[in-house]
Amino acid sequence: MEPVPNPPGQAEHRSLIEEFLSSRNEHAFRRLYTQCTPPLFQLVYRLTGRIQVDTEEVVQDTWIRAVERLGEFRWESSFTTWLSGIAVNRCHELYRRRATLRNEIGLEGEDLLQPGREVPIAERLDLEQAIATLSDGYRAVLVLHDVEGYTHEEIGRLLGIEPGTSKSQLSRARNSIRRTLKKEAPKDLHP
Amino acid sequence: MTQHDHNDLTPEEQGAFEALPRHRTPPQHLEESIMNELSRRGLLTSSTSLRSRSWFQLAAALVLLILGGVSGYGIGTGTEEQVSPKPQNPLYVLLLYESPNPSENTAELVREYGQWAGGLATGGRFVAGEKLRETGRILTRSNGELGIREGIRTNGSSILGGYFIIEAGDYDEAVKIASECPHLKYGGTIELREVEPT
Repeated sequence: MEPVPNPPGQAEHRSLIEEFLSSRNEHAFRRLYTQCTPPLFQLVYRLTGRIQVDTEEVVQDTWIRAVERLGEFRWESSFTTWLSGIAVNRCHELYRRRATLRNEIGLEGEDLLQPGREVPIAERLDLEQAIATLSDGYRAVLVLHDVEGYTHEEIGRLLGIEPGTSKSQLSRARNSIRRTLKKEAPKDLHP
Repeated sequence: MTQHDHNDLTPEEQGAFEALPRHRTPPQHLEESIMNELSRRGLLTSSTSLRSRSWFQLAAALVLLILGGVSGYGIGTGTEEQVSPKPQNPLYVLLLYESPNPSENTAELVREYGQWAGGLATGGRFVAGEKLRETGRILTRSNGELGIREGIRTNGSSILGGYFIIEAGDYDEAVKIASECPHLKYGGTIELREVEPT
Protein backbone atom coordinates (compact mmCIF):
# COMPACT_ATOMS: atom_id res chain seq x y z
CA MET A 1 0.00 0.00 0.00
CA GLU A 2 1.36 3.41 -0.92
CA PRO A 3 2.17 5.87 1.84
CA VAL A 4 -0.68 8.26 2.45
CA PRO A 5 0.36 11.82 3.17
CA ASN A 6 -1.57 13.83 5.71
CA PRO A 7 -4.50 15.45 3.93
CA PRO A 8 -3.91 19.17 3.69
CA GLY A 9 -6.42 21.42 5.36
CA GLN A 10 -9.16 23.28 3.64
CA ALA A 11 -7.64 26.54 4.83
CA GLU A 12 -4.43 25.89 2.95
CA HIS A 13 -6.31 25.11 -0.25
CA ARG A 14 -8.26 28.32 0.14
CA SER A 15 -5.11 30.33 0.68
CA LEU A 16 -3.41 28.83 -2.38
CA ILE A 17 -6.48 29.34 -4.56
CA GLU A 18 -6.85 32.97 -3.48
CA GLU A 19 -3.17 33.56 -4.19
CA PHE A 20 -3.51 31.90 -7.57
CA LEU A 21 -6.64 33.82 -8.53
CA SER A 22 -5.07 37.14 -7.61
CA SER A 23 -1.98 36.68 -9.77
CA ARG A 24 -2.43 33.46 -11.80
CA ASN A 25 0.84 32.57 -10.13
CA GLU A 26 2.48 29.35 -11.34
CA HIS A 27 3.99 28.44 -7.98
CA ALA A 28 0.67 28.69 -6.13
CA PHE A 29 -0.90 26.41 -8.69
CA ARG A 30 1.94 23.90 -8.54
CA ARG A 31 1.53 23.63 -4.76
CA LEU A 32 -2.21 23.12 -5.12
CA TYR A 33 -1.62 20.56 -7.86
CA THR A 34 0.93 18.68 -5.74
CA GLN A 35 -1.46 18.44 -2.80
CA CYS A 36 -4.62 17.52 -4.67
CA THR A 37 -3.52 15.36 -7.57
CA PRO A 38 -2.45 12.05 -5.89
CA PRO A 39 -5.96 11.30 -4.52
CA LEU A 40 -7.54 12.62 -7.71
CA PHE A 41 -5.26 10.45 -9.85
CA GLN A 42 -6.10 7.36 -7.78
CA LEU A 43 -9.84 8.00 -8.04
CA VAL A 44 -9.69 8.48 -11.80
CA TYR A 45 -7.34 5.51 -12.29
CA ARG A 46 -9.91 3.33 -10.54
CA LEU A 47 -12.86 4.84 -12.41
CA THR A 48 -11.24 4.32 -15.81
CA GLY A 49 -10.60 0.67 -15.03
CA ARG A 50 -6.88 1.23 -14.43
CA ILE A 51 -6.19 2.53 -17.92
CA GLN A 52 -3.20 4.85 -17.56
CA VAL A 53 -3.63 6.85 -20.76
CA ASP A 54 -7.31 7.49 -20.08
CA THR A 55 -6.47 8.47 -16.51
CA GLU A 56 -3.94 11.06 -17.63
CA GLU A 57 -6.36 12.50 -20.17
CA VAL A 58 -9.17 12.79 -17.61
CA VAL A 59 -6.94 14.28 -14.90
CA GLN A 60 -5.56 16.89 -17.30
CA ASP A 61 -9.05 17.75 -18.52
CA THR A 62 -10.25 17.97 -14.91
CA TRP A 63 -7.58 20.47 -13.89
CA ILE A 64 -8.13 22.64 -16.94
CA ARG A 65 -11.87 22.78 -16.37
CA ALA A 66 -11.34 23.39 -12.66
CA VAL A 67 -9.02 26.34 -13.29
CA GLU A 68 -11.43 27.74 -15.87
CA ARG A 69 -14.21 27.73 -13.26
CA LEU A 70 -12.18 28.41 -10.15
CA GLY A 71 -13.55 31.92 -9.82
CA GLU A 72 -17.08 30.52 -9.59
CA PHE A 73 -16.24 28.09 -6.77
CA ARG A 74 -18.18 29.16 -3.66
CA TRP A 75 -16.71 26.80 -1.04
CA GLU A 76 -20.05 25.12 -0.45
CA SER A 77 -18.06 21.88 -0.42
CA SER A 78 -14.37 21.16 0.05
CA PHE A 79 -12.16 21.93 -2.92
CA THR A 80 -11.18 18.27 -3.28
CA THR A 81 -14.85 17.22 -3.36
CA TRP A 82 -15.54 19.83 -6.04
CA LEU A 83 -12.51 18.66 -8.02
CA SER A 84 -13.56 15.02 -7.72
CA GLY A 85 -17.00 15.95 -9.00
CA ILE A 86 -15.48 17.43 -12.14
CA ALA A 87 -13.34 14.30 -12.55
CA VAL A 88 -16.34 11.99 -12.21
CA ASN A 89 -18.15 14.09 -14.80
CA ARG A 90 -15.21 13.77 -17.20
CA CYS A 91 -15.11 10.01 -16.59
CA HIS A 92 -18.80 9.86 -17.39
CA GLU A 93 -18.03 11.57 -20.68
CA LEU A 94 -15.27 9.01 -21.29
CA TYR A 95 -17.78 6.20 -20.65
CA ARG A 96 -20.09 7.72 -23.26
CA ARG A 97 -17.29 7.75 -25.80
CA ARG A 98 -16.44 4.15 -25.00
CA ALA A 99 -20.11 3.16 -25.35
CA THR A 100 -20.29 4.89 -28.72
CA LEU A 101 -17.19 3.01 -29.82
CA ARG A 102 -18.69 -0.27 -28.61
CA ASN A 103 -21.82 0.41 -30.62
CA GLU A 104 -19.80 1.28 -33.70
CA ILE A 105 -17.95 -2.03 -33.59
CA GLY A 106 -21.11 -3.96 -32.89
CA LEU A 107 -20.93 -4.57 -29.14
CA GLU A 108 -24.25 -3.02 -28.21
CA GLY A 109 -25.44 -2.65 -24.66
CA GLU A 110 -23.44 -2.71 -21.47
CA ASP A 111 -22.75 -6.02 -19.81
CA LEU A 112 -21.94 -6.26 -16.15
CA LEU A 113 -18.41 -7.32 -16.99
CA GLN A 114 -16.23 -5.77 -19.62
CA PRO A 115 -15.59 -8.06 -22.57
CA GLY A 116 -11.98 -9.15 -22.75
CA ARG A 117 -11.09 -7.94 -19.28
CA GLU A 118 -10.73 -11.29 -17.52
CA VAL A 119 -8.74 -11.21 -14.31
CA PRO A 120 -5.26 -12.70 -14.78
CA ILE A 121 -4.86 -15.92 -12.76
CA ALA A 122 -1.98 -14.56 -10.71
CA GLU A 123 -4.08 -11.59 -9.60
CA ARG A 124 -7.47 -13.16 -9.06
CA LEU A 125 -7.53 -12.31 -5.41
CA ASP A 126 -6.79 -8.69 -6.16
CA LEU A 127 -9.82 -6.57 -5.38
CA GLU A 128 -8.52 -3.79 -7.58
CA GLN A 129 -8.36 -6.09 -10.58
CA ALA A 130 -11.86 -7.38 -9.88
CA ILE A 131 -13.19 -3.81 -9.77
CA ALA A 132 -11.42 -3.02 -13.03
CA THR A 133 -13.21 -5.87 -14.80
CA LEU A 134 -16.63 -4.34 -14.13
CA SER A 135 -18.26 -2.38 -16.90
CA ASP A 136 -17.92 1.38 -16.69
CA GLY A 137 -21.30 2.21 -15.15
CA TYR A 138 -21.21 -0.52 -12.51
CA ARG A 139 -17.59 0.25 -11.66
CA ALA A 140 -18.37 3.93 -11.22
CA VAL A 141 -21.21 3.25 -8.78
CA LEU A 142 -19.20 0.75 -6.76
CA VAL A 143 -16.08 2.93 -6.56
CA LEU A 144 -18.02 6.06 -5.65
CA HIS A 145 -20.13 4.31 -3.01
CA ASP A 146 -17.95 1.62 -1.47
CA VAL A 147 -14.53 3.23 -1.88
CA GLU A 148 -15.19 6.96 -1.87
CA GLY A 149 -18.24 7.01 0.40
CA TYR A 150 -20.69 8.93 -1.80
CA THR A 151 -24.41 8.50 -1.14
CA HIS A 152 -26.75 7.16 -3.80
CA GLU A 153 -28.29 10.61 -4.13
CA GLU A 154 -24.87 12.15 -4.80
CA ILE A 155 -23.98 9.39 -7.26
CA GLY A 156 -27.27 9.92 -9.02
CA ARG A 157 -26.52 13.60 -9.49
CA LEU A 158 -22.97 12.96 -10.67
CA LEU A 159 -23.81 10.21 -13.13
CA GLY A 160 -27.22 11.44 -14.21
CA ILE A 161 -29.09 8.38 -12.95
CA GLU A 162 -31.84 7.80 -10.37
CA PRO A 163 -30.73 6.92 -6.82
CA GLY A 164 -32.67 3.68 -7.17
CA THR A 165 -30.66 2.79 -10.25
CA SER A 166 -27.47 3.49 -8.34
CA LYS A 167 -28.62 1.14 -5.55
CA SER A 168 -29.51 -1.70 -7.87
CA GLN A 169 -26.28 -1.31 -9.86
CA LEU A 170 -24.28 -1.33 -6.65
CA SER A 171 -25.96 -4.55 -5.56
CA ARG A 172 -25.21 -6.24 -8.86
CA ALA A 173 -21.64 -4.92 -8.89
CA ARG A 174 -20.99 -6.24 -5.36
CA ASN A 175 -22.35 -9.66 -6.31
CA SER A 176 -20.19 -9.72 -9.40
CA ILE A 177 -17.08 -8.84 -7.40
CA ARG A 178 -17.89 -11.59 -4.89
CA ARG A 179 -18.37 -14.15 -7.65
CA THR A 180 -15.13 -13.12 -9.33
CA LEU A 181 -13.07 -13.33 -6.17
CA LYS A 182 -14.69 -16.54 -4.91
CA LYS A 183 -14.81 -18.37 -8.22
CA GLU A 184 -11.27 -17.56 -9.16
CA ALA A 185 -9.58 -18.04 -5.80
CA PRO A 186 -7.05 -20.88 -5.70
CA LYS A 187 -8.57 -24.00 -4.12
CA ASP A 188 -5.89 -24.34 -1.45
CA LEU A 189 -7.06 -21.09 0.06
CA HIS A 190 -10.62 -22.39 0.36
CA PRO A 191 -10.62 -25.72 2.23
CA MET B 1 -37.72 -4.09 1.14
CA THR B 2 -35.81 -4.68 -2.07
CA GLN B 3 -33.00 -7.06 -2.82
CA HIS B 4 -30.25 -4.45 -2.55
CA ASP B 5 -31.20 -3.68 1.03
CA HIS B 6 -30.00 -7.16 1.94
CA ASN B 7 -26.78 -6.80 0.05
CA ASP B 8 -24.67 -4.93 2.56
CA LEU B 9 -20.95 -5.43 2.75
CA THR B 10 -19.66 -7.79 5.40
CA PRO B 11 -17.16 -6.30 7.87
CA GLU B 12 -14.38 -8.14 6.02
CA GLU B 13 -15.49 -6.74 2.69
CA GLN B 14 -15.78 -3.27 4.14
CA GLY B 15 -12.27 -3.62 5.54
CA ALA B 16 -10.97 -4.68 2.13
CA PHE B 17 -12.45 -1.58 0.48
CA GLU B 18 -11.13 0.68 3.22
CA ALA B 19 -7.66 -0.81 2.79
CA LEU B 20 -7.47 0.19 -0.87
CA PRO B 21 -4.87 2.93 -1.51
CA ARG B 22 -6.21 6.50 -1.62
CA HIS B 23 -3.26 8.11 -3.35
CA ARG B 24 -1.41 7.39 -6.53
CA THR B 25 1.61 9.34 -7.68
CA PRO B 26 0.94 10.95 -11.07
CA PRO B 27 3.70 10.91 -13.70
CA GLN B 28 5.87 14.03 -13.79
CA HIS B 29 5.16 14.69 -17.45
CA LEU B 30 1.47 15.09 -16.66
CA GLU B 31 2.14 18.09 -14.40
CA GLU B 32 4.20 19.78 -17.08
CA SER B 33 1.60 19.01 -19.71
CA ILE B 34 -1.13 20.59 -17.58
CA MET B 35 1.03 23.63 -16.81
CA ASN B 36 1.72 24.16 -20.49
CA GLU B 37 -1.91 23.79 -21.46
CA LEU B 38 -3.05 26.25 -18.77
CA SER B 39 -0.38 28.69 -19.85
CA ARG B 40 -1.33 28.32 -23.51
CA ARG B 41 -4.95 29.12 -22.64
CA GLY B 42 -3.89 32.19 -20.70
CA LEU B 43 -5.06 30.72 -17.40
CA LEU B 44 -1.64 30.73 -15.77
CA THR B 45 1.29 33.11 -15.60
CA SER B 46 4.31 30.88 -15.75
CA SER B 47 7.99 31.70 -15.65
CA THR B 48 7.86 31.12 -19.37
CA SER B 49 5.05 33.61 -19.76
CA LEU B 50 3.25 34.45 -22.92
CA ARG B 51 5.12 37.72 -23.02
CA SER B 52 8.49 35.99 -22.92
CA ARG B 53 7.37 33.60 -25.60
CA SER B 54 6.24 36.36 -27.89
CA TRP B 55 9.64 38.02 -28.00
CA PHE B 56 11.27 34.73 -28.78
CA GLN B 57 8.84 34.04 -31.58
CA LEU B 58 9.38 37.46 -33.04
CA ALA B 59 13.13 37.18 -32.80
CA ALA B 60 13.22 33.70 -34.25
CA ALA B 61 10.91 34.62 -37.10
CA LEU B 62 12.97 37.65 -38.01
CA VAL B 63 16.22 35.72 -37.75
CA LEU B 64 14.87 33.17 -40.16
CA LEU B 65 13.72 35.92 -42.47
CA ILE B 66 17.19 37.44 -42.44
CA LEU B 67 18.77 34.06 -43.03
CA GLY B 68 16.48 33.40 -45.94
CA GLY B 69 18.15 36.25 -47.75
CA VAL B 70 21.75 35.39 -47.03
CA SER B 71 21.94 31.62 -46.83
CA GLY B 72 22.19 29.12 -49.60
CA TYR B 73 20.61 26.52 -47.38
CA GLY B 74 16.93 25.80 -47.12
CA ILE B 75 15.08 27.09 -44.11
CA GLY B 76 12.37 24.57 -43.64
CA THR B 77 10.38 25.32 -46.77
CA GLY B 78 11.17 22.02 -48.38
CA THR B 79 11.31 23.31 -51.97
CA GLU B 80 13.55 21.59 -54.51
CA GLU B 81 15.71 24.68 -55.06
CA GLN B 82 16.58 24.88 -51.40
CA VAL B 83 17.84 21.36 -50.81
CA SER B 84 21.18 21.77 -49.08
CA PRO B 85 24.32 19.98 -50.25
CA LYS B 86 25.48 17.07 -48.16
CA PRO B 87 27.57 18.54 -45.35
CA GLN B 88 31.23 17.55 -45.09
CA ASN B 89 31.49 18.11 -41.37
CA PRO B 90 29.57 16.65 -38.44
CA LEU B 91 26.18 18.23 -37.80
CA TYR B 92 25.18 19.62 -34.44
CA VAL B 93 21.76 20.60 -33.19
CA LEU B 94 21.31 23.59 -30.92
CA LEU B 95 18.10 23.13 -28.97
CA LEU B 96 16.98 26.53 -27.70
CA TYR B 97 15.00 26.58 -24.50
CA GLU B 98 13.21 29.81 -23.81
CA SER B 99 14.49 32.36 -21.42
CA PRO B 100 12.62 32.95 -18.18
CA ASN B 101 14.04 36.50 -18.14
CA PRO B 102 13.19 38.06 -21.47
CA SER B 103 14.81 41.24 -22.68
CA GLU B 104 12.78 44.39 -22.73
CA ASN B 105 14.61 45.52 -25.85
CA THR B 106 13.21 43.32 -28.57
CA ALA B 107 14.77 45.28 -31.43
CA GLU B 108 18.23 44.91 -29.96
CA LEU B 109 17.69 41.21 -29.38
CA VAL B 110 16.53 40.61 -32.93
CA ARG B 111 19.52 42.50 -34.28
CA GLU B 112 21.90 40.36 -32.23
CA TYR B 113 20.28 37.09 -33.30
CA GLY B 114 20.41 38.24 -36.88
CA GLN B 115 24.10 39.10 -36.69
CA TRP B 116 24.95 35.79 -35.08
CA ALA B 117 22.97 33.63 -37.50
CA GLY B 118 23.98 35.69 -40.51
CA GLY B 119 27.64 35.15 -39.60
CA LEU B 120 27.05 31.41 -39.48
CA ALA B 121 25.42 31.44 -42.90
CA THR B 122 28.20 33.51 -44.43
CA GLY B 123 30.80 31.13 -43.01
CA GLY B 124 28.99 28.09 -44.40
CA ARG B 125 28.14 26.75 -40.97
CA PHE B 126 24.37 27.25 -41.02
CA VAL B 127 22.25 24.26 -42.11
CA ALA B 128 18.73 24.88 -40.81
CA GLY B 129 16.74 26.68 -38.18
CA GLU B 130 13.11 26.88 -37.17
CA LYS B 131 11.01 28.10 -34.34
CA LEU B 132 8.52 25.65 -32.86
CA ARG B 133 4.89 26.36 -32.09
CA GLU B 134 3.78 26.26 -28.45
CA THR B 135 1.19 23.60 -29.11
CA GLY B 136 1.80 19.94 -29.71
CA ARG B 137 0.68 16.40 -29.07
CA ILE B 138 2.21 13.94 -26.65
CA LEU B 139 1.91 10.33 -27.70
CA THR B 140 2.40 7.41 -25.36
CA ARG B 141 1.68 3.73 -25.51
CA SER B 142 0.84 1.96 -22.28
CA ASN B 143 -0.12 -1.71 -22.18
CA GLY B 144 -0.61 -1.62 -25.92
CA GLU B 145 -3.01 1.33 -25.82
CA LEU B 146 -2.14 4.50 -27.68
CA GLY B 147 -2.62 7.71 -25.77
CA ILE B 148 -2.65 11.10 -27.49
CA ARG B 149 -2.83 14.25 -25.43
CA GLU B 150 -2.61 17.91 -26.28
CA GLY B 151 0.45 19.55 -24.82
CA ILE B 152 4.21 19.77 -24.97
CA ARG B 153 7.01 18.51 -22.76
CA THR B 154 9.10 20.90 -20.72
CA ASN B 155 12.61 20.95 -19.39
CA GLY B 156 12.28 22.26 -15.86
CA SER B 157 10.33 25.46 -16.18
CA SER B 158 11.30 26.16 -19.78
CA ILE B 159 9.99 24.87 -23.07
CA LEU B 160 11.76 24.07 -26.31
CA GLY B 161 11.18 27.11 -28.48
CA GLY B 162 13.33 26.49 -31.53
CA TYR B 163 16.46 24.92 -32.95
CA PHE B 164 19.41 25.51 -35.21
CA ILE B 165 21.40 22.88 -37.05
CA ILE B 166 25.00 23.82 -37.76
CA GLU B 167 28.07 22.26 -39.28
CA ALA B 168 31.22 22.21 -37.19
CA GLY B 169 34.58 20.48 -37.37
CA ASP B 170 34.22 18.99 -33.92
CA TYR B 171 32.49 19.48 -30.59
CA ASP B 172 34.90 22.24 -29.57
CA GLU B 173 33.99 24.32 -32.59
CA ALA B 174 30.29 23.61 -32.09
CA VAL B 175 30.52 24.71 -28.47
CA LYS B 176 32.31 27.89 -29.53
CA ILE B 177 29.56 28.69 -32.04
CA ALA B 178 26.80 27.93 -29.55
CA SER B 179 28.47 29.94 -26.80
CA GLU B 180 28.28 33.05 -28.98
CA CYS B 181 24.53 32.68 -29.57
CA PRO B 182 22.71 35.65 -27.99
CA HIS B 183 20.15 33.25 -26.59
CA LEU B 184 22.53 32.63 -23.67
CA LYS B 185 23.03 36.34 -23.05
CA TYR B 186 19.29 36.75 -22.53
CA GLY B 187 19.03 33.95 -20.01
CA GLY B 188 18.03 31.13 -22.32
CA THR B 189 19.53 27.66 -22.30
CA ILE B 190 21.04 25.81 -25.24
CA GLU B 191 21.37 22.06 -25.40
CA LEU B 192 24.00 21.02 -27.95
CA ARG B 193 23.77 17.56 -29.51
CA GLU B 194 25.77 15.96 -32.31
CA VAL B 195 23.75 14.29 -35.06
CA GLU B 196 24.47 10.58 -35.34
CA PRO B 197 25.72 9.94 -38.89
CA THR B 198 23.71 7.36 -40.82
